[in-house]
Amino acid sequence: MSFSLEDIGFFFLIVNTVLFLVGLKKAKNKKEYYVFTIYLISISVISGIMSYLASYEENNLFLSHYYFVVQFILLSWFFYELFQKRQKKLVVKFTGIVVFTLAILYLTGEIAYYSVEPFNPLEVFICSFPIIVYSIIHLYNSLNNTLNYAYVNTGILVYISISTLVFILASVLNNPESYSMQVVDILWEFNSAFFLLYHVLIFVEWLKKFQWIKVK
Amino acid sequence: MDKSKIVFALIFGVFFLFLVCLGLILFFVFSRKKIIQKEREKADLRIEHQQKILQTSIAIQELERKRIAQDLHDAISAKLNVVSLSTNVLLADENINKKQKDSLEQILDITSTTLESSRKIAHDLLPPILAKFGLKAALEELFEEFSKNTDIDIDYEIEDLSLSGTNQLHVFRIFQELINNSIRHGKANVLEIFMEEHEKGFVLKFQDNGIGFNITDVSEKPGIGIQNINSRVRILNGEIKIESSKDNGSLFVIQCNYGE
Repeated sequence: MSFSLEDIGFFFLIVNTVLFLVGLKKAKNKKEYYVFTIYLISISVISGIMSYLASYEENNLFLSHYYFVVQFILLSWFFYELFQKRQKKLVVKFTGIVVFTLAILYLTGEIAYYSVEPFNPLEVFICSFPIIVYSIIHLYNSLNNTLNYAYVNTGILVYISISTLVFILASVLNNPESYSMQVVDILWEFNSAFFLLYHVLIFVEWLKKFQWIKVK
Repeated sequence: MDKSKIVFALIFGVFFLFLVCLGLILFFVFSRKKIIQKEREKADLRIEHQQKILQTSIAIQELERKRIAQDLHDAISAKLNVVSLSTNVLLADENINKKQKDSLEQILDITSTTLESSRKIAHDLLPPILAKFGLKAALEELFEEFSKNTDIDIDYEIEDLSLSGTNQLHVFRIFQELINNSIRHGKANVLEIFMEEHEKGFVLKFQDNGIGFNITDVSEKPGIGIQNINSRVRILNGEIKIESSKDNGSLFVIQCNYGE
């Protein structure tokens, strides 16, 4: 049995979720840690259901809406906890705008719940762009301060940017022409590779954090 | 457009984005390093400045002490000596009555005690023995004085150091401060003192059996005494190591290097 990059990435996601749950007790009163753990659990659950449906060759594409929205909301919350007072307001504003826009898009049927198209580029973009902005703001905050969640933040910035590009390109290129589907496959490999990198970084973060807690 | 070109363009696009992200992160990481280094430099400069102020104030303090000691000696002791001499002359006169004689004797008495106290004050301010007979003799006298006036036992093994006059005074003051601290704060009654010169400098060890203290408290918020010791050690181009804990006494090791 051979494992694809995607399988290894999923394996790392589960490992990280378990590790963050294990460390929960030691990270007392660290809200951002809790939020990140919730994020990992949610993503694990959604990915798990997706691969379960895929194994029965059922349509699992409608779950991508949950994936993007949940990722957006939980990562926004994560950065909200990390940010300073004034920046928290920005997160709240951004979240409001995105949720409002998404609601309109869903209600007007611009984004179909069960879609033949794999992804809606607009949905992907408005759910990912704020996260990239937060990630850069967090880097900026670290200039005269300690950089909390350095590895996670690096992973978020790299993975979210690249996956956004991949998702958008994949939805644009998704047509029955054979060569186009091959290109999409290559793009998925890219996405899986960077997903793996992202989770390796989260794993490193956990290792560092755990050591730090131990020392203290 | 043929297929390979599109694939190439896409791979290029993804890698480009990856490099941009990486560049962004590196940019922030290096900027951060630079900013932190600048801040550290600033903090170092501030500490250095504070040290300079402290050292200057110590130098001024010593100068002032010396001046007061000198003035006490020249202006008061010398005049009092004249008073006592004159009183003696008057006392030698046989024509004075009993009452006058008593008064003169009282004057003589007061004058000599005042002379004695002014000598003592001058001595405390600047031990003349240090300038005349060197550090070892001055320290021995200091230890003896403490042993005599308090119920403290001092075991010592010291030798003379080839230091300049002002630096010898610093060493002397360090010992004075350490003993005072041990008695006043440590409630110690046995002190062990060791001072030895080696090729490049000297080392001194000071141990008491007092109640000890929490080192982190002292290093975070040092009292004037410890600050004074630290500054003097720094002037002497040395390092101070303190070992102490509650109820276990304390040990001070000061290691200084000559040169510079």
